[in-house]
Amino acid sequence: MKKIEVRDQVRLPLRRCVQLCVRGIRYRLFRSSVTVVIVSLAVSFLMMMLSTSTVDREVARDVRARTSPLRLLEAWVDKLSTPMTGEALADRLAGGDARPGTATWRELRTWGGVSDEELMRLKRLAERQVEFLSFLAELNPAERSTLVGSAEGADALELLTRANQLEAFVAKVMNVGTVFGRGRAWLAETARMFAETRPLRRAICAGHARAVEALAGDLKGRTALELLGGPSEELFALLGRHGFELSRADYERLKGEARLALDERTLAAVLDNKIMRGVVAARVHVDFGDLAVGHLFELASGEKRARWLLEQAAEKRKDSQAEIARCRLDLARLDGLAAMPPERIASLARGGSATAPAGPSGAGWTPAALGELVRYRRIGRQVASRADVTAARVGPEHLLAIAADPEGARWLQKLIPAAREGIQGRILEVRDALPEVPPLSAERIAEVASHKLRMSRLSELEAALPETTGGWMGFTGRTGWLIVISFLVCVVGVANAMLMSVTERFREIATMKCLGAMDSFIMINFVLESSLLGLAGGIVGVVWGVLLGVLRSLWGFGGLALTNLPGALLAGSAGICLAAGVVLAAMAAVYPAWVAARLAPMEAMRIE
Amino acid sequence: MSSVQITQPTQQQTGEQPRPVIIRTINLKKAYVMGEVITQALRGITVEIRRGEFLSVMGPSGSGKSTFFNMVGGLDSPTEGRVFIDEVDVAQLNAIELAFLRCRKIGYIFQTYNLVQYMTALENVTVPMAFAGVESDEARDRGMGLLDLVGLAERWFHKPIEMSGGQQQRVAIARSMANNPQILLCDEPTGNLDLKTGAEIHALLKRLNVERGVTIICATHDHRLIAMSDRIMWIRDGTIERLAERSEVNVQTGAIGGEENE
Repeated sequence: MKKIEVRDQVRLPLRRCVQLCVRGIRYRLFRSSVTVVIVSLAVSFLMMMLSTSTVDREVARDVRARTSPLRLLEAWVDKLSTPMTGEALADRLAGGDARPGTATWRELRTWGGVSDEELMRLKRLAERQVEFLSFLAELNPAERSTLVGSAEGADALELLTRANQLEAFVAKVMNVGTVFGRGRAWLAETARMFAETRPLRRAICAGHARAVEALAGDLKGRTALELLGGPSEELFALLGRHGFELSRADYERLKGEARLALDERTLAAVLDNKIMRGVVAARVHVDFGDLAVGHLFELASGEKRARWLLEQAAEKRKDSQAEIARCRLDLARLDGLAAMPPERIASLARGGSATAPAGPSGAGWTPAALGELVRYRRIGRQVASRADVTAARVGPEHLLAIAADPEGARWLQKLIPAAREGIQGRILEVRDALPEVPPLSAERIAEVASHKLRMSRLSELEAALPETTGGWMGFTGRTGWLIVISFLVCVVGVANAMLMSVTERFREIATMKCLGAMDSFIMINFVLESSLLGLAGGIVGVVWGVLLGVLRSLWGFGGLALTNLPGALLAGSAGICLAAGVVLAAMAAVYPAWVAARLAPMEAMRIE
Repeated sequence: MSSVQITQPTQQQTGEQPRPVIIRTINLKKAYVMGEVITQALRGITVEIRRGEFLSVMGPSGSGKSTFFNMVGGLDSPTEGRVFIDEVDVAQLNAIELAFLRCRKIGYIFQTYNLVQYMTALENVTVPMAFAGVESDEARDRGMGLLDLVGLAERWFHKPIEMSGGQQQRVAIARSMANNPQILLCDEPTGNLDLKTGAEIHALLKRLNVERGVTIICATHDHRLIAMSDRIMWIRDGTIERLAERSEVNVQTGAIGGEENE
């Protein structure tokens, strides 16, 4: 039998396939654009998540770097002023910088008087303890209370060391339905180690407590912060004496921060003063009672306003001092009045200029000044009642009328001690509320205040950031699922669109097959078409995703998001998203393309 | 290139000498199974079609005409029996060989033209050439030649939607001739056309048959085509009812042919 003289049927070059596809797409522009939109939605969702999480991570890294000196300072203040708890010890031992030879290691050894081996055992225990406690921390409250009752932290481990509790715990873990990665033996070993090393832990904690106490004695009332912000010779001498080891590098990092913190306290003390508080409240338009230290920092963060604040403090201080001086003068004059014979007072009240005072004690008394005495409340009230007028209407004339008579003058003199008392009270009151001018330059105030504002913003961000980080590319389980589902929906949508396209083009496909197209060409044609649509959708999606993601980060972090734009990472993510879009669309087209490729060529003969 | 030479008529019809057989079917049977029901579309057709012949296939709808076409065109495989195209057993061919066969040996012309809507006339004509691996420059030249042959050279840039039915069918004919096939299978080529345009298409087919020696197998209801045919085959209920030379039919056409064959 004769064989057909087949030279292999030519496969169309890719360029030609792409050309054909593009023309087909242009012909079915609307249908195609629906596919593009579907792909772009899924891709933009992924891209938005990716760019948000990458930007967030960069921001988080940046924020942590910026706040690290502050954290270091806080850690050191804590270390120097608060005795360490057992859990803090475990955390410190489990941390990365507790290794033989490090400063932390030497400190702990010195305080506890323990050997390297003992400390090593403690470290191993600490690692187990941290693992165990983090397991407990992830449980919900009901599960936790079933397992360990109301025990918190290390107490839960303490519980396991008791007789029978371990068995009960293991049984309960199964009942609760959670899984702890370690077995019973591990728990038993941990509990045993925990019980065994108790004296060691106590020794270290006690040693630290002693060191803190001794340091406090040497500081004589000053705080640890003051020590850290003070001269370095004293700091290192005192630290060395009590077994603390602060490296020079760490000192350099926290030194500035400590001084800023000290100045910040000085600045914040401005608000302790009632007068200055009122001044600041009036300036920032906040109710006196609602005024917070944040308002002050906000106000003081500009150099001009800081200078204004200093001027106000100086002015108010001067005012108060002037008032004190005035009160003192009044006291002296009242003393003079008390010593004056009543007749002279009476004549003074009658307005005789000839009765000018003789002695120094009566210095400066004029009828007008005498009349003014009613402004002391304790005198005014008495005068009012004697003159039989209301306290509000009492005036110098009433007083002068009374004092014009020596009897009245004598009565007036009897009121003087009470008035004196009032004035002295006033002096104390004003002296108490004497505004202090912070011993800082305006520049420094502005620096301190703006630094404080920046830091509090950063720590707010830091508190918000853990939600957005962690997991692969910063995805939590939920966003991961959302992305997977969005992609599934996208695949189904694209597959549907392509199936419709295939159905619509039955005759075209069959005709092509009649004209000599091979199955592979039909297949490639459809997958390629879908891929091209996927590419278009991917590009649109990536652009939208980046825009939305960056906008979202900008909303959350402001300028920090822009200064931390991770270009390379974003480009990488864009690449991933684009590839995802293309692969997705191509995958979605495989089944429709297969349907098309299997189509019998005789379909072309069919007449609807 | 060489395919052009191969498909040139190697033998002009010369009077008495019998022309070689190009399509041979032997006891061709086809059954379609639809659920429980088995439909016998073809019940055993044995026919020889000679090179350069113009064969009209007539028969009412559902007679098995289309099924016969699918078998002959290598578009479907028979349940029983064999189809030889140019002495090659179609059943033995794999997918690629079938594609090769459809691409170069057979041209198809459909009742509904089946032009690709988003391509111009020239592009439609050059599609089969692309599948045959013809260089695009050469394809364009040959495509223009074919369009010229069907009288549409001036309209090469028109999309199908911009052309009348007759023009579309002429483009379709040009496309079917793209790789110089030896066989043209026409499935009611004038079914959607008015009488005058239909006549033009008939004339065109006859010209291809005469000038290029293409074997034309044409399913039709149009009796005017009988006048152009070398032979006429009537199919009814999956069997050949009658197979006759034109000369025999001509006698009848005048008398009762019209009614009998409707």
